[in-house]
Amino acid sequence: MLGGNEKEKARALAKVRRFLKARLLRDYTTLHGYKEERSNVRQLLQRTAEMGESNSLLLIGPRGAGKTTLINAVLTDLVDNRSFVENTLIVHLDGNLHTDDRVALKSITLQMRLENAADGKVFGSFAENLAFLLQCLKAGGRQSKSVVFILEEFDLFCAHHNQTLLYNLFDVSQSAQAPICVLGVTCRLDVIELLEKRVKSRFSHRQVFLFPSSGRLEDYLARVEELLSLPENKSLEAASDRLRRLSRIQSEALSLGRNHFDPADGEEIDPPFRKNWNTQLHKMLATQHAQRSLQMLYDFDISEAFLRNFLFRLVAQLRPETPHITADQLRTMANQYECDDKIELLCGLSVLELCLIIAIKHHSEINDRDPFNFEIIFARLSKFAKVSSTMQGMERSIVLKAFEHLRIGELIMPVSVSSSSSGKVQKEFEKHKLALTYGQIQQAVQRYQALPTEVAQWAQSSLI
Amino acid sequence: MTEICAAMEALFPCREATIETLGDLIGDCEDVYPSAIYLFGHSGTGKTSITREFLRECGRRQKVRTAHLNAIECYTTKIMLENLLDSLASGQGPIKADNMLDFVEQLRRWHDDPEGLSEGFLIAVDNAERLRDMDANVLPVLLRLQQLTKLNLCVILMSQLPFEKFYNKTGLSDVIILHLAQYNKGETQRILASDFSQMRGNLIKKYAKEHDRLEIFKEVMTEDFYNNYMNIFLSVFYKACRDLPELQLTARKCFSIYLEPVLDGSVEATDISRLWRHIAGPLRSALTQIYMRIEKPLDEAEGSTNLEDQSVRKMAQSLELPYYAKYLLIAAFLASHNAANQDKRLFVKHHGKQRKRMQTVNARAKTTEKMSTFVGPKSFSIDRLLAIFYAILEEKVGLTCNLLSQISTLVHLKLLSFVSGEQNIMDGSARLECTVGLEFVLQIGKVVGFNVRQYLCDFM
Repeated sequence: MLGGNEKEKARALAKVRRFLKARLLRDYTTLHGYKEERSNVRQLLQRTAEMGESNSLLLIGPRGAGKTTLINAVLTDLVDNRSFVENTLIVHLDGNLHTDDRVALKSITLQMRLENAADGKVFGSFAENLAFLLQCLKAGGRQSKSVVFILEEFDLFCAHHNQTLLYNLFDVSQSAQAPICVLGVTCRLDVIELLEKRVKSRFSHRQVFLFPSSGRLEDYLARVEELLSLPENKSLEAASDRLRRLSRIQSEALSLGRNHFDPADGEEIDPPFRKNWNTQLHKMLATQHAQRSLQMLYDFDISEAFLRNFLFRLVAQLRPETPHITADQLRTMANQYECDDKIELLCGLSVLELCLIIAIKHHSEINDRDPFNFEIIFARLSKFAKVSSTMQGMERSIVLKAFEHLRIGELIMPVSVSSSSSGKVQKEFEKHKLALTYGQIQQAVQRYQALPTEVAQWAQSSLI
Repeated sequence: MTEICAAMEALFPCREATIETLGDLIGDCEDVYPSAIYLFGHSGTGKTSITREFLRECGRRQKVRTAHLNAIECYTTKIMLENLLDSLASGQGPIKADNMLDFVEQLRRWHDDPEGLSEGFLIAVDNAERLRDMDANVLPVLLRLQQLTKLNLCVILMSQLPFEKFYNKTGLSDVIILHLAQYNKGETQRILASDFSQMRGNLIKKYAKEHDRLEIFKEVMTEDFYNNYMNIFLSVFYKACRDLPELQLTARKCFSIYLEPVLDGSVEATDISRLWRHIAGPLRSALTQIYMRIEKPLDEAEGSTNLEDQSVRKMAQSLELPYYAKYLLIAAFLASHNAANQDKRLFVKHHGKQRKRMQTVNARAKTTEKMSTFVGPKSFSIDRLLAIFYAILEEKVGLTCNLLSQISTLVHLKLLSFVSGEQNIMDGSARLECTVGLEFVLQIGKVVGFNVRQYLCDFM
């Protein structure tokens, strides 16, 4: 009986785990905050769909601020609107995938489902091709369909030859040939400067800036609790209803609905368990340890993407032995984000390699961060090796290997990047510079396990 | 998931935490995968082998398609994409992908595939630091592949660098970073000693023909004995090298030397201090060859007082250059390491009086870092080389083609190298430099009875 009970619990926990994991990573359409910006973009799209207005807009904000989520959320809102679904086509382009205009145009044709119409036609220019595509849309119904172009990584499109795609899109949107709306998404603040003059003058200069609201810590904590708690069944149904409507957007590239987190998926979690989970969670988050750790995270990065990633790792640790997230887990995980990767790597070096780093540090301190080569460092190390008992009898070839190991780990970097010039110079004489701060070296020396005392002393003072 | 972890933990001692974390994150293909995981740590900490085994286990037990590739092999993006598709598709014939878009679209197609029974996709990329040198869109797309393809897909990147080295101008999307810490001394010893039974088996096979040795061996070879050996071994090697595979290789190679006196019956197996005296020399000489993997008997260099000196001396003596070529090499070294304006004072008998100015005195006050033997060789023209050659050579020799051909011999032997103007040697614009070190030239000088130091500005 007891065994059965345990099994039951483990099953329920696995369900919770799956649910939370999916909600943390796959919820592409739920946006928090940004009310003003959201209604701004929605109105724009609505006007394009219903009145046939043309428009262009840039959505600018740092990574993880929720730019894409904002667009997704707006589209989800608009799906309810029958006329929007019938009247608009969505074309989704990504600067990382559509690396030149030819590829982009092909993809546009496909996404507008015009490959049959365009097949076999020869176009003189890019503009002609695009005009043809838009014309096709007009021909169909009494009213022409409007097209929403979503350009992710907008700054990368600026690097295309002559910015042809951007020029044509903005040109169409400005001259009211066909109702299109161009939504650019980028994380570069100076993106306007990247546009050529003729392109810039055709852009509407409508920009929406998204900055993660540097709200209060309380909001942040509430967000954490919301992301981790289990909702009521009723709200789940509402959410999954919303999701089902998403499939009305028929776009291969965007395909929001597919693989989206679906709360109705899987069995339901029974209410007592849910209640227990939520109270435990609330208790845990109220503790001082948890608050302090979350405060630290908040100081690092306020973006929600970062938070979700962090919580995902916490949720992944759930298992039958530890069925709840504890404040300790939270703290250890938060501490992982605090530590410096380079110091970790330094602590994994051998004593010889660490001695080289120390020699380099002394050289840099004395010569004001002048570049160095192997010979200089080796001479300094040999001086130390003469008086030290641990480093005696280190052969040149081993030290050279250790030096190369540092270079592979990019703890030291060659000054000249071009491979052609470095090929000529012998490796013993190639100039390098240090890619560490003195503080990092200091900390690594302190933390290194079982470091010989004389090496530690040498690290403090270059005098031997 | 638990079975996978249990199976893996037996294979990789001291890596339980990492395996558990990996299992938590991507152990269950019905769960949602994170979009990217970055594994980093020094070489030899088990990044690749753990990931490979993990993917294999996942592929075997769950409906997961896996791909594992090394970024070094992919010198173009296309090769990488097609390799990935091939191993993910597992035998559906070659699939073409010219660019990133084709690749992503192919993956999207698999989502609709009715036969596509697999629920998860795992992609592992070794030497991920190479991705930085590939097309600019490779790394961002790989990190966001899950979002782009809408598959349950996870990309595992492995590298020796911290993730901060990957950041580009506009930043990257978030990844989960896992660090594999270097094994500490206790762990290293534990792992090295764990191949005891395998080692024993191998050696029993080796001594199978010599009956009396086999008897002694069977008696002596205990875990304690092996542990003691590892202890001694690490006391010599650990400070210079913490790379586990490298240590393992060398430890196996040296073990038979350690065993030899015991099998001979000259030393008791329990007499550790005498065994240490026997093995110390070979171990120290093995230390000089670590990473090199030179297959030569270790005891050759045994008993020498100064290994460094000897190896250079040996090389200089074994190099049987003609008499004039030796002088040419010395002349080249002098030309490389002295400034041209000092030549007159160094090599001409009546060079007149030196005027001492404050400026020159200051310039002479050299620190070690400015010495030309530390900074590296400078280039010189063939004319200057010949002039110095004639100045340091006592006798008169004619400028024959025999003499000139020796320059090209030296270039062939990589003792000299061309810096520029390789094509126009005849018009005198070619510039050479000397690639050998001071130690080596001093030895050559000793052979022909010439004091090189006397002619170096650094040592005046």
